[in-house]
Amino acid sequence: METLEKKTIEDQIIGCSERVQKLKRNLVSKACYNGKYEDGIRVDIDRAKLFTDAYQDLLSEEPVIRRAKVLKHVLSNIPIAILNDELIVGNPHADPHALPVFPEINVNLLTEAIADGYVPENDRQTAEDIVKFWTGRTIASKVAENMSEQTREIVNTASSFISFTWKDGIQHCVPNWDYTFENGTQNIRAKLQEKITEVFNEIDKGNSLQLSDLINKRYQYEAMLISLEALEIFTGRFCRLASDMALQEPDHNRAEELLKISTVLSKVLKNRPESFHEACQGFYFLHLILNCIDSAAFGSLCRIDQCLWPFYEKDVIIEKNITRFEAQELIECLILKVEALGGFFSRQRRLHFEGNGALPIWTLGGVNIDGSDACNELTDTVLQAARSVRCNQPTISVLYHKNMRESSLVEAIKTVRSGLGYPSFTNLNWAVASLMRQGMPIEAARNAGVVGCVSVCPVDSCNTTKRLALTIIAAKSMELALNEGKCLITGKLLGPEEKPATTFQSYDELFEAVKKQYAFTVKTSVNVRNLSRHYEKLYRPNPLASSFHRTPLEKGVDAVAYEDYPNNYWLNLVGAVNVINSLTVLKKLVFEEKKYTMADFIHAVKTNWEGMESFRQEVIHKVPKYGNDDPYVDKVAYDVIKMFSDVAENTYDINGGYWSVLAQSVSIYQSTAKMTGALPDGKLFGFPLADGGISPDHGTDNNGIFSVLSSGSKVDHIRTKGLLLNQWIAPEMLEGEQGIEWMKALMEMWSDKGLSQAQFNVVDPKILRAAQVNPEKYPHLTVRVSGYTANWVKLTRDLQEMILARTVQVN
Amino acid sequence: MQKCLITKIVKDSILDGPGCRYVTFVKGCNLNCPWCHNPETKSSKQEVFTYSRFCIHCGNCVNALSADAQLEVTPVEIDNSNSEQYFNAVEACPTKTLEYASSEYSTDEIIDDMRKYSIMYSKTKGGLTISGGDPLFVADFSFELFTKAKAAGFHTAADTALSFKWDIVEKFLPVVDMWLIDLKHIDDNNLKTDLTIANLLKLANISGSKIWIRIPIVPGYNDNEAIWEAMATLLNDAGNAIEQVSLLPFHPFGTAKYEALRIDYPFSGVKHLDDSVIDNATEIFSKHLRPEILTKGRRILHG
Ligand code: SF4
Repeated sequence: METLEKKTIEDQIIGCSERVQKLKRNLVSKACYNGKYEDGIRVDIDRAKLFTDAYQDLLSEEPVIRRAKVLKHVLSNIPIAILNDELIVGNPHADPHALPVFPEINVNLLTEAIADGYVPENDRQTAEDIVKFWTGRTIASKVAENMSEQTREIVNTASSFISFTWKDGIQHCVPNWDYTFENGTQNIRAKLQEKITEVFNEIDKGNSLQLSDLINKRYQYEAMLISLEALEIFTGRFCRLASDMALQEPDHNRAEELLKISTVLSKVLKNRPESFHEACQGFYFLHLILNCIDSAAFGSLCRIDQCLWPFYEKDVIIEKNITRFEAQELIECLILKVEALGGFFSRQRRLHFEGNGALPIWTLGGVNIDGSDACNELTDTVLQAARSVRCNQPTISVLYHKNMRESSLVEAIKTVRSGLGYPSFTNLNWAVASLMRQGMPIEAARNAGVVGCVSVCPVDSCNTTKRLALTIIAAKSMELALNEGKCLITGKLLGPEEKPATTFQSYDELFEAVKKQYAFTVKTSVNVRNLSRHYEKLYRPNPLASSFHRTPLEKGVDAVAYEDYPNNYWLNLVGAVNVINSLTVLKKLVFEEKKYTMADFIHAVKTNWEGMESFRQEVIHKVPKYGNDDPYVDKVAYDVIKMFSDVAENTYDINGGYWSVLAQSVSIYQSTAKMTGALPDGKLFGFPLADGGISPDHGTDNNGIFSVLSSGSKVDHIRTKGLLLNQWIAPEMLEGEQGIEWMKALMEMWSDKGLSQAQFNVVDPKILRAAQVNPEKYPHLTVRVSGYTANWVKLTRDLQEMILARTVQVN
Repeated sequence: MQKCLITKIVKDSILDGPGCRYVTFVKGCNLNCPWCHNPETKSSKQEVFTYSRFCIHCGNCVNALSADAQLEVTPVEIDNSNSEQYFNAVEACPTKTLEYASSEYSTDEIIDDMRKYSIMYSKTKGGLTISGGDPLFVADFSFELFTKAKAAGFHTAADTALSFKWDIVEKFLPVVDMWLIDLKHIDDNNLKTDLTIANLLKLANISGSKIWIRIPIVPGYNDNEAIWEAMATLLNDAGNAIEQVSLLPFHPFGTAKYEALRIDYPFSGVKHLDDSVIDNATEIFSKHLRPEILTKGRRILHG
């Protein structure tokens, strides 16, 4: 215990080189706590101004060409810097405190930034001018133009809808890394030139029916060319900066280093990387531009141990140009660069996503396209790097399967054991089955990575270049069904009118009423998301990302508009377990035992259980709760998740694919506490919904983690994009060799039971408590809050308490 | 089919035998160790815990009892020597104030449940442990459960004080793979340590026996060097069948359960055993025993 405690707290930068320790100390965090950024964080007005100026000058251009030229203008002029000690370089702005803002996506963000004091006085006028220009021109405002008065009212005010995607416009944007490294910009540019010549030849043939198509292709190819030039300009600027700095650097060693960096930068992304260093730099540069300069996209970086492996293998194993320790240092530098990235978020998002600024996630492990294990030494090195540098982002998900390389699995478990809160585990068998059911060939399904927090997506496809999710509070459907379609908090009608719940004659009738409300919420939010997809396709093409995928070159399409595979969209459901538990309570007490009536429950939820504590306690303790391997409630869980999937799969995106369910709640479950009224499962107004996707509700699982897995295995995961399971494990359970064996067996059992996802918190609650009392002693303590990791001592007390209230799985 | 009252089932234990253990704590014991931290396992009859801090004073318990239940105070005062009388009150209590100390399980129910997690037990070379109470006190149930567990391919362990006649112990030989033996003292008539020791030596002499010894170090009872010397010598004489000897420091976690059963705890107010005592004991034991078999008790601290 003693040694472990020490490890959890103190051992945090052990293994790091002096350089990495310095970089970590000087890092400027972009995380939000209590809805606020840390002191000194400000909005970067330069990017917004460069973008807006160029855009204004190019109004008459085709959207895709305009987009490329605007990018070129931004990348040619944005202030840049190389910071002390860096090996991997590049930043969204020379000032590490500056957060990019994207007025072209949602101008309200800049308005909020001004109001909330994140725009320095000097930039105020510029910011206001930018706001003026974009007002009425953004995708968000175009979407709103298409809504009826009634819909607009509902989606803007109803608490059942939280849909970051069309309000924040935040996307995922991942290039096809294998393709990128194989070809490099030189090769891709040559191919684009050929394609353009081909298109001109076709146009000359005069086929009238193909003409519109051909013109669009030409625009697309030319835009891709311009965006590649833009990229080379940007890397060129860094290359010169590094060599200039080398000339002026008094420290000889650093000067040498800067020259070496400059050499790497002179080649980066142009051809197949010559070294592991160059591959890491290219990996970061492209991620940086796509996610934080070109557009707001904070997402996955996909299978890093696969795409960087050939270069690691060559440098570390075959040619021995660098040592494993040097390679690990490069990965640590890479992690720190990703940790420093962030964007300016809306007030709502800042509250919902407490902790992390963005949600980048790396996928490790998994299989090759022939189904054999894909783990390698780099898998282990990345995990060791993560454990030694200990950052909040990127988080890591391991694609688990039974035949994983032994050392990789052990490293993954040791990383969990170190209290970092990640890696999470994604069940490969589930992922493959689920993607195949959605219509993908087995090779694509096997070559998938985790995008967002949970969902998986084939990495060799354009599907990774958009965030196709929206978030709704599923628990609200329960509330609306009991209250004639009206919100318990505001009294407004938020769904179809329903007859009084007192008249429900059967459990089935109640279930149908919940389904009706849920279906309405789904339909309405999907409609809005489809509207925004329409405009994204028109006005938000991404020629740069398109350059690094196969199909855009082949077909002359844009990666944002095009989907290689259908059925990509998913609904993040919050509070699914509250629906399960509430329905179980009503089924048992009203319709089976007839001990209470619907009127009793309606009265209870309307009055927030006021004066009915013994009734509420009975509901909590005398009716089985999901997560205890109880067949009665687990049957309801199966029915509810099935109903959620049925409804979702009956809703379509604008390409004709269907939507799927993904149950998770990030830290939304906490911030939505005041958005859902009291519920029949005993939840009080103002108290949070169940955490996770299919994690048992706070403190309601009394039979240990095995029973939790048993319950979780009884719902259908294959139809979903993932059902998130959060579990605490006391660190003592994982001590020593025996602990690793225990965890290995647990992983195998979890995988056999067919669950989609799991993440484990192993920080001892005693340490968390101690950190509440003496936060200054535990600055690096991290904890997982569904789907990502946050700095414990900076979380609000409420969130801390909630985490502590979750059952700790111990003997 | 045999049934038994079980006070708790832990499916993922790492403390009760090798690998991952499915542990059933049976209700019923022939001893009455005054420091026992599981007082609810002593009696083989159902009992009721009262956790007053959860009480919301709704009065449901009082109302559920017959009119002549004279009590108006809440929570209703349970007399565990006659607990059946109060079952209605337990059923009526909406909170966790009044709680049964055990639930009844059949041997099949337990085996069926274990099968759901069999991968855990096979992969970690773990299995079923019957603890208690004493599994040999509920011998018919334990024998049937062990027999079924072995038939299902699970490793079996009995956590017992062996304070029974040898023929009872002997009957279990074919179905118990490993013995976790509580050695409390070297010479205590009240706790029948003569039987423990005699049976332990007999077991140790049977070839193929696997034995783990667990010694609670209890302040004022066996925390003296002479007893440790004697125990260590005895264990050394017992030979290679003894694979592990654990010294388990006294802890006061049982206090809350005594309060909840409304019985006096002779060890009330006694603190955690000092680490230095365990260190002393370890030193003495290590003089006589192969060092690799000696372990200090581990504890999952926040249970
Ligand atoms: S029924 Fe339970 S909660 Fe109510 S008064 Fe009795 S003991 Fe207290």
